[in-house]
Amino acid sequence: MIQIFNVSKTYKGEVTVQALKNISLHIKRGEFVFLVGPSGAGKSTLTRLLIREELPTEGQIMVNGKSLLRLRKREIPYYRRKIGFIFQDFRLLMDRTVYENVAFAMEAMEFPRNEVKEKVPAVLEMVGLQDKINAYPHQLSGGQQQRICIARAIVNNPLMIIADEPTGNLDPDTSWEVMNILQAINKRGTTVIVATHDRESVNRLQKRVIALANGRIVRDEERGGY
Amino acid sequence: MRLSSLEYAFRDAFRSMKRNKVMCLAAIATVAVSLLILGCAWLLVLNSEHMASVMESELEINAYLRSEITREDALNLKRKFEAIGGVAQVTFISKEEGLKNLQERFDEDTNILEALGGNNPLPDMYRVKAKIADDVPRIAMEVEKIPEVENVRYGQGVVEKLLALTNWLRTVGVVVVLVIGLAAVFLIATSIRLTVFARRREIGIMKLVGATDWYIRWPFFLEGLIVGFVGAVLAVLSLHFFYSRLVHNVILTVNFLPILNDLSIIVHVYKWLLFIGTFLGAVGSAISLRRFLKV
Repeated sequence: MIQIFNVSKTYKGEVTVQALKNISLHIKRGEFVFLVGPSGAGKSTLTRLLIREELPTEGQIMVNGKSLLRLRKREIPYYRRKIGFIFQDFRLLMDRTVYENVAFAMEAMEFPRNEVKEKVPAVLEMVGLQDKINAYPHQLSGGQQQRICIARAIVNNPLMIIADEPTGNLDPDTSWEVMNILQAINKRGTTVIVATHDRESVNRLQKRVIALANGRIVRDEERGGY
Repeated sequence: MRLSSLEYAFRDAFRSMKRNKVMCLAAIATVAVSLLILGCAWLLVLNSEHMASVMESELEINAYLRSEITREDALNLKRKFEAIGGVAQVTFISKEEGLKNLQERFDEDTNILEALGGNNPLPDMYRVKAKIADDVPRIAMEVEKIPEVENVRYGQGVVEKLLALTNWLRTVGVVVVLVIGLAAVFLIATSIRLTVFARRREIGIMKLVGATDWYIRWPFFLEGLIVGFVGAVLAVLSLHFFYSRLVHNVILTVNFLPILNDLSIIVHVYKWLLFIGTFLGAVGSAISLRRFLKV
């Protein structure tokens, strides 16, 4: 489903940084993949390329048989609707309730009103927030906030979920909760890519692990640990 | 664009206007003021044009006869006047009638004849009306050629002066409106820029979840349109209030003044004001979308 061919990414500035160096990798539909490695290894750069926030300096990225390089500007929104994002900092709207945060995303994807009304409670129930529908994010714990974010990411039934440090701000127990939800989503057939530092979860889940260091893939194991 | 998305856009536009109340009201007020001035200038121009045409249509030529002409000769002249091409009506006014008309303009206590020392200084005269206002100068020239005519008077200059005033009003109106209209556009743009700034987090999330550029732009665009339209409605309402008052008072007190009271023309002005207001709003939001909303 995702094919990356000889991709390099260089950021030119006062100091030129080569964030990715000649990376090639394949991710199949329905896979659960951890991207691990120290800060600055290139994990975030890779996720930014996958959501077509940036273009690679060299190489080719194919998603579902379509080249991201050849994606036209007006096609980008529709491409992104097939992806669910989860971030370390949640990216929630603090002045909106849990319900409104998820509904907001559905509206942005131009779902009609009745579908929004129907799907938001269902997806909140899936992540166990059915009792917090009208709460504001600041009234919730970090783990609960991250579950809003997950609900927002899966409400559209995306082909894949990309999570950038989803447990970075959470304690180990809560992290494990979040990872479990991601695993459950993966079991329904959604491809899940998780960039993480969370050694414990990686070791426990025993999924495919791709380790990056200095912009190169240093390890790619089918059932690996951190 | 789906209907429901338009609904979301309207909701978001109103929500952000509520949040940015002060700025938004300032923008609405500026639009209203500039359109009110435009409306006033426009109605003034229309009125002076109307006045000019009314005066033109009433243009008459007064031909004063030499004092040595006998009454009989004077009455016989009528045919000569009627023979001039383009003449609609010829009326003889004797010096006695002229004095009576003059006396009527003063109150009854004043005796004009006495004041003038018992002598009627007025000559006999003919009043000639033209069929078309444009013919008036030519007819006046031909009347002047009649030997018995001492001199000729008609409203030359008045109409020209009125039309010059109209042109002047039009220019001043356009300039003033351009300046204030520019201020209105600027305020709308600023108000929308503030909204964009306040919503930058939302915009970021919208982009990530796959909102199209136009989905993101619509609420801001609508905000500009609404501000412009509401400003225009305020301008039209106050203009209508003042103008109908004015018409009412003019008809009551100085009813010889030909004020424009043709509703279809006035409504036409109102329609244009509404359109221009909405257009100003569109321009204002387009500017801020171009400069501040690089989606």
